[in-house]
Amino acid sequence: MTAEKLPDRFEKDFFKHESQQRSWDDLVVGEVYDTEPFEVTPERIQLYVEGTEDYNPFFTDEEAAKNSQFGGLIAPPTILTPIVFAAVPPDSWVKMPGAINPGQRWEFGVPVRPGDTIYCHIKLRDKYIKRGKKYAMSEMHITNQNDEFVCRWTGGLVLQFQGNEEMKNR
Amino acid sequence: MSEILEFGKVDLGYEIPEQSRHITQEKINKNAEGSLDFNPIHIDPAWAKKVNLLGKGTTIAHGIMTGAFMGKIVTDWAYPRGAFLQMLDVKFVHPVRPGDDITARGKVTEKHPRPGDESFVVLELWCENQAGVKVGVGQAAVRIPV
Repeated sequence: MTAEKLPDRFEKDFFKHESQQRSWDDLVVGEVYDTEPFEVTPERIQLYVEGTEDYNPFFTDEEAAKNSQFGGLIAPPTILTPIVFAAVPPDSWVKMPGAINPGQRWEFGVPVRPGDTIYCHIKLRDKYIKRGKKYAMSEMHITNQNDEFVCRWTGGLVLQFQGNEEMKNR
Repeated sequence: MSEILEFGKVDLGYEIPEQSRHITQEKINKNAEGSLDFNPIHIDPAWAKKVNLLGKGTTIAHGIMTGAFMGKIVTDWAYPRGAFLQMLDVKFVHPVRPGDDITARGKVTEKHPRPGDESFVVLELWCENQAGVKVGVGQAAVRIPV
């Protein structure tokens, strides 16, 4: 297994591509997003375990995992978060500074395991205004290198910061 | 491995063990590293103060940090007992900020008998802060093969 390699376009600084982000008004329901496959390394699993303080032995202890219902190491189910953040381009609305998460739903298939290569197909399934806030909602179909179903992830973000004058003056 | 869960022996109303944790900016930063979500609303206190997005001028924890915590209390119960997390559905109804103490709880509210090893239960989940305000609510489905 190789060391983690994030896509060349991955950027930690969410402000860097802010000017290229399209506004909520420009998003078109039904559009799909360009993503890159992501290889899940033990390093990424360890970072995610530490970040979520979820030290279940099935995620990091080979012996414990071998004797489990999974028959080997798995990643925490919500490991899909860094996979998607790595996979989507830096100018995606998913990375808009100030975006607020209202909720998410994951329907799981086979677990993610170290060494897997994960593919995300992302579609904007809805956008709407509710109580003055602008929502963008996506649906992600996530599979692995064997074309097995890993997850159907539906959810979105509140992009209430769109057009805020303060953003331009930060 | 703990004692294996048996679908027939899981009672409606059963409350899985709750868990609590203290939230700090350091933990939020660590979550950003793990999740690759470096949105400044989570990790940049100066910017968060300037834009005052949710009224208190602080950063807020990642919603999925709360969601993963709500999922953790389910997998900590289910995984060592031979069961599988099938679905997790969470809504973040109040911001979690540095300094908060949050507690996640869950209760079995539905039982779905199925042929073979496909039976599952649904748990209602909720997460509260130190003031008793719900910060997250949701559901999880757990498949219990035995």
